[in-house]
Amino acid sequence: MTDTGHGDRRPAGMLEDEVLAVLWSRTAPVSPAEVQAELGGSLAYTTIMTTLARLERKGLATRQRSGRGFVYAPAVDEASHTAEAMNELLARRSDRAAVLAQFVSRLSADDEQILQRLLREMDD
Amino acid sequence: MRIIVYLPFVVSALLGLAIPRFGRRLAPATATRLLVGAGAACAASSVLALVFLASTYLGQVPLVASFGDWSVGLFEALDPVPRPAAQLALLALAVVGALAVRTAARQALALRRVSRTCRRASAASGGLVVVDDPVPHAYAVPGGFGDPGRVVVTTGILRALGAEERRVLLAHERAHLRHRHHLYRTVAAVAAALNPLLASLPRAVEYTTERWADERAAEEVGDRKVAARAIVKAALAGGERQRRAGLAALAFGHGDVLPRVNHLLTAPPRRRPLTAAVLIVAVAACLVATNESRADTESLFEEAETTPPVVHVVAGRRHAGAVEAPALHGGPRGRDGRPGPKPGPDGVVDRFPVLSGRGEAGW
Repeated sequence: MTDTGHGDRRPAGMLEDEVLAVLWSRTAPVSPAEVQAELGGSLAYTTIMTTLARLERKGLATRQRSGRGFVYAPAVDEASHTAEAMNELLARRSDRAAVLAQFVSRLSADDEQILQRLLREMDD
Repeated sequence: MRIIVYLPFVVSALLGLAIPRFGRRLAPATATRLLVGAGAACAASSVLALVFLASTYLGQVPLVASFGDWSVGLFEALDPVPRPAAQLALLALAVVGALAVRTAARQALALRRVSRTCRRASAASGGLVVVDDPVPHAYAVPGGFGDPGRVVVTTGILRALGAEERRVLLAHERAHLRHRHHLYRTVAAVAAALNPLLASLPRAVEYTTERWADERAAEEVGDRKVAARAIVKAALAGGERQRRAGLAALAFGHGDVLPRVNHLLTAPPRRRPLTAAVLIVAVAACLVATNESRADTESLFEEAETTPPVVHVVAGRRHAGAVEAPALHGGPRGRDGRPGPKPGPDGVVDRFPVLSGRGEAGW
C-alpha cells in the first residue's frame, strides 16, 4: 500500500470504521455535519449520510430526530456485550498472544516522561 | 559425517545474538521477512542436523538395524560421531519436537477461539469492532481464509486520540491484518521452540511487525508526525490508566514505544543491502551444510548395508553383521565380511574403495 501518498484517500471499508470511531469518541450524539467536520472536508456530506445510515442498519449506531435531521450515537449495548466476551477471552495468556496487540504497551516512568516531553514538542 | 553437521548450530547461535541488531537496522518489512525466513531456515537446518546425528546412534541399535539391511558392527566402525553426542541429539530432538508442536497447537487453538468470538461481534465494513471499555487498548484479530479479520479497539483508546490519530490507529491495526503479521509471529515462535538459540526471534519479529504497521499507517495518513503522536498519546493514556489502577509496579515493560516513535520522527527507513546480504549468506551456509550432512548420512547408511540385495538373497547373510563386528574394529578394509572380498560381477567390491575413502576423511 505505497500508493496512498496523500492523506485524503481511504482504502475501501475504512470510512465506515472511521465514522464509527467518531461516534464512539464523542459523549453526545453527533450530526452528519459534525462527523464531516471531524473527518476532514474532502468527504462529501452525502457519503457521510450514507455511511451513518449503513451503521444504523447494522445495529452499530442508533439515531434520533433532532430538528430537521438526525443525530447519531453508537450502539452501547452491542459494544458492552462484545467487551464482556473479549475480556473473558483475553484473560487467558495464550489467547492474548494470538492477537496482535502492541499499539499500547507498558511504559516505564522514564519512558513516560520522555514521551510527555515529546508530545509537548510536537504540539508546539 | 563431517564436522559441517554442526554448522547450523553455530550459525543459529550467531544469528540469535545478532537478531535484535538486524531488527533495528533493517527496514521493518525487509527485517520481518528476512528474520523470519532466516530463523525458519536455521531452525529447520538444526533440526535436520539433530536428525542426522541421532540417526548415527539409532543405526547402531540392533532392533533398528535388523529392520534395515545394515550391520551394527559395520555401522559402529564407520560412524565417527561420538555416541554421547548422538544420544544427546536424539534427546534434544524429542524435546524440541514436543515444544514446537505445543507452541504451534497453542497458537492455532487460541487463534481459533479469538477469531470465533470476534466473528460473533458485529463489525463495521472495515472490520472494526468497538468494545465499551475505558482501558485504552487496540488489537488486530486475524481471520481465516477469505476473512480479513477484525480490528478491535476500546472506547478508552478512541477517546484518547484525535480524528487523524484514530486514522493512524486503524491503519496500523489493518496493516497487521493485511500483511498477515500473525503468520510471521507464529513461524518465529515455532522456530524459537525448535531451536532455543533463536530465543530472541519472537520478540524481534514482534517489534519489526509493529514498526512495519507504523510505517504503513504513516503512509496512509501521509504524515509521520501524526503517526508518532498517535502512538505517544495512546501509550501515555495507557500509562496513566495503569497508574490510577495501581499497576505502576508492573509497568517496567519493554522499551518499544520510544524507538518506534523515534523512527517515525526521523526519515523513512533506508535500504541496507549489505546487512540483508549477511543474513542471506548465513542462511545459505546453513542450507549447504544441511545438504552436505544429508549426503554424508545417506552414504553412511549405504556403506553400512551389509550387502546389496542380490548377494543378500544368495548368501542369506542376515545375521552376518553380528558375527563380523569384531573383525571390523580391527580394520575397516575387511568390512565386507565375506571370506576374501572378491571383485565380482555384481560390483560389490567396487563400492568399497570409494566409500572407505569418505569414511576416513570423515569426522
